[in-house]
Amino acid sequence: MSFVSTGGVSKWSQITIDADKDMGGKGLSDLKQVAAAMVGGDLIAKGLGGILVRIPAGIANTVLTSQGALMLPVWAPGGLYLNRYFPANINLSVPTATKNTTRSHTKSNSMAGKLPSPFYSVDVAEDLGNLVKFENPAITLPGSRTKNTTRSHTKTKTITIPSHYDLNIVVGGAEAYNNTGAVFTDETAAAQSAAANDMTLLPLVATVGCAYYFGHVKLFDLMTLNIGTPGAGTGWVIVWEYWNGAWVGLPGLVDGTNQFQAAGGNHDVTFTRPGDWATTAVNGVTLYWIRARLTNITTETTQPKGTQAWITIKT
Amino acid sequence: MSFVEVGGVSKWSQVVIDADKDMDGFGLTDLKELVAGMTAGDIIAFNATTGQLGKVSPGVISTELLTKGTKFPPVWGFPDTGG
Repeated sequence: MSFVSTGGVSKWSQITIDADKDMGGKGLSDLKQVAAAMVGGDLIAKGLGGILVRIPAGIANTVLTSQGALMLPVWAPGGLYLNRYFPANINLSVPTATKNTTRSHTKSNSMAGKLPSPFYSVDVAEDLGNLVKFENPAITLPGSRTKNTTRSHTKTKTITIPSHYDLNIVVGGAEAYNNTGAVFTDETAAAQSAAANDMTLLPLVATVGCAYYFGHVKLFDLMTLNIGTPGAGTGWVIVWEYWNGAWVGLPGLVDGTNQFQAAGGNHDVTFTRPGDWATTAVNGVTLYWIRARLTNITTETTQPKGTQAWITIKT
Repeated sequence: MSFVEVGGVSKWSQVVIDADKDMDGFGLTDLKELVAGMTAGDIIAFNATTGQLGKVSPGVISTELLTKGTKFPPVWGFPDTGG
């Protein structure tokens, strides 16, 4: 059985595609893909170039959001929420404080003089026989009564006191630097968007000196990078630096990205905010920058790619 | 029995579509459209009413793709905030 009868081609691969084709309602099944390099979770849409393209899956909990007619939809934070328009999260740190209040008071009530004197007389004018019963001993009443009451109570109330607020916001700038040719590429929009793998953390052919810059208009305390594709290779050394008139190592650095080789997902790069951090222009953009610079590499088997990056400002 | 009855064809335009086709896991790329009349931004969904793939054209800016339940193509709109 052949796709095309004998005398002509017999394989699909031999068919020359020379025209649009109306399938006449017939189906195609077990089709691997209609757009190149589709992976699980991709959607298909008509591209701006006139052919079908893939829309990669967005990060978790984003929703497919229209960009209007003739534009590809994008994955973005969902709902009619503020962070759609101001994509920042404010993390409120609320350690608890305990306030102990102790109240103690003593109340004394003296009843002295407030009771009648203990004088009673009984005149027995006649023998009332067994109609009157005399108490033995005689009835007595206290001349005074003192009531001492002491109340003491302790009340413990736990209240929450915000101690600081963390502002988490997308980076203000992102620059990819390829040392081969000394070429900067502005990837700010890519770093701010949730589109997967649109940040080239290192070039496809990485060489010593290649770097990726993350910046913001304000001083910040940590950078969070969503890695879409973890890099892989050998002899791979990345240093993190900031600008104080020269590029120097970040103090107190903890590189959660594992030199761009950590598994896909969010990873923090934490450091002690330098006191002498200064702004500088990188590819014409003046911000407070940190950079991840490649100082050694033997092989690069997988190019690391990022999806999105944020900075956090602690107050 | 062959997919194409005439012999000697070598061009797609000459192929008579007379049956469904199992692609056996092979792909098609650089395909202009699966649904007639697609324009940029359209996405593809199965329409149980027509039994065919259909296009879902872009909504207005900032609308979100909302499910209308099984059997129905999704639509662009604003979600119910529940408020």
